[in-house]
Amino acid sequence: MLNAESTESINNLLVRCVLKDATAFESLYKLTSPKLFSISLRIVKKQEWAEEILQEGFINIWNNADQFRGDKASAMTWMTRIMRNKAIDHIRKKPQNEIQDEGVLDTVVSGTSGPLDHLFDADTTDALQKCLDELDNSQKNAINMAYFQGLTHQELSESLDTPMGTIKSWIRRGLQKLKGCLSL
Amino acid sequence: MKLENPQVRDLIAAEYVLGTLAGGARRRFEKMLWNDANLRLLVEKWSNKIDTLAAGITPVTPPTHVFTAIKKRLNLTAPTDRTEAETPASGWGKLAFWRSATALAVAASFVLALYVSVYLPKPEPAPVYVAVLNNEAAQSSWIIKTNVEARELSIETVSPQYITADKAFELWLLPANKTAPISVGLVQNQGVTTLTLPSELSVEFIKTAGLAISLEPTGGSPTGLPTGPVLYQGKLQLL
Repeated sequence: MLNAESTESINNLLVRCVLKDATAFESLYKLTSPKLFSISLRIVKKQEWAEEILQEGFINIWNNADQFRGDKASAMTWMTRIMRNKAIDHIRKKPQNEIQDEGVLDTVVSGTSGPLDHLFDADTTDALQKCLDELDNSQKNAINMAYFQGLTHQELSESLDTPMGTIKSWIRRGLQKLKGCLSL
Repeated sequence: MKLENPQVRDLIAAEYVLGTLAGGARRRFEKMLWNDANLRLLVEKWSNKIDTLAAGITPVTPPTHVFTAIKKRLNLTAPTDRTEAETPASGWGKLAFWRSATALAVAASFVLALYVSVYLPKPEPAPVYVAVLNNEAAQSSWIIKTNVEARELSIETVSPQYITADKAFELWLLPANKTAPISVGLVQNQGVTTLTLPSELSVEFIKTAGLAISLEPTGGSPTGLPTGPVLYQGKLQLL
């Protein structure tokens, strides 16, 4: 369900960061960092790296808040994109032997639920989920794995033991169906 | 990488947001984004949808030292937060006499500066109030800053607000006691507009009033009250 108050509050806090309002920045961090930390953690799978990414990401958010355009994006998707890009760039620079799943998601303390579950526009979230449910299982699974684990076509091919051509086809057809379903 | 076919551009933008674009292709795409506004729009469009996938992720509270490090790197740490470990050691006993004398002089200047800053009266900075005006979709559209006592308002658009040539934006104060809105003046649809608040209104009245922007004919409301739709609203908060 859409929680307009939460999304409005995050947008406002981000806009106040343009004015270099440190109190707003701290509130923004408290409200969004558990979700953004979790996003990074899933991709890099190492607590130390996820902490570095969170740090770099929030410094980027503070320094570039003036580039956020409230008429084109929601604050939460804008910040999520910054964090995911940093996590993906980080993991792809690392040698393969350094990348090991430490199982941190099994041991770290989860933040509270509640308002944190309503950081994104619920109407958009619901629409995407409905459209994902209309995809073939193989397409949906490949898109979810790519998003949540930051996997490339090659990594998906190895992980799913499926030829890369098939993986590319699943992803592309899945995205084209989403485009139609979401009227993009 | 050439991206001229609209369908290919769209698909590559989607793959970039999803994260499957890798290696040199990803780096080349990011370079293209710098100079291709239309491509950036495609990325925004896909990100607004695809990135809501993260809504389902269980949040994980990061350790407190991460934010401490962020504040330190951005120099947001208040002086009272500093630890003794961050203070350089003085090393008095090891210094030669002349160096001690220099240090004493420096210390004396600090004491003097401290005395001046603590004991001599200095003017209090005027409080600054800020309002963020949102549209109906809760998107932040205008930032208003004011030093209420100086009676000046600075109104800035978050991004250009498009209107036809026969329309104008007018800013209103909405009194806390729900009486009729008071016009402050017309505001430009982009950049910064500076307006002066009516001198007859008390500071308390202004601080507690709401702010709204309505769409009016060119030249402003002909009646002295909003005649068009109220598109943006917000309230002042102490910065």
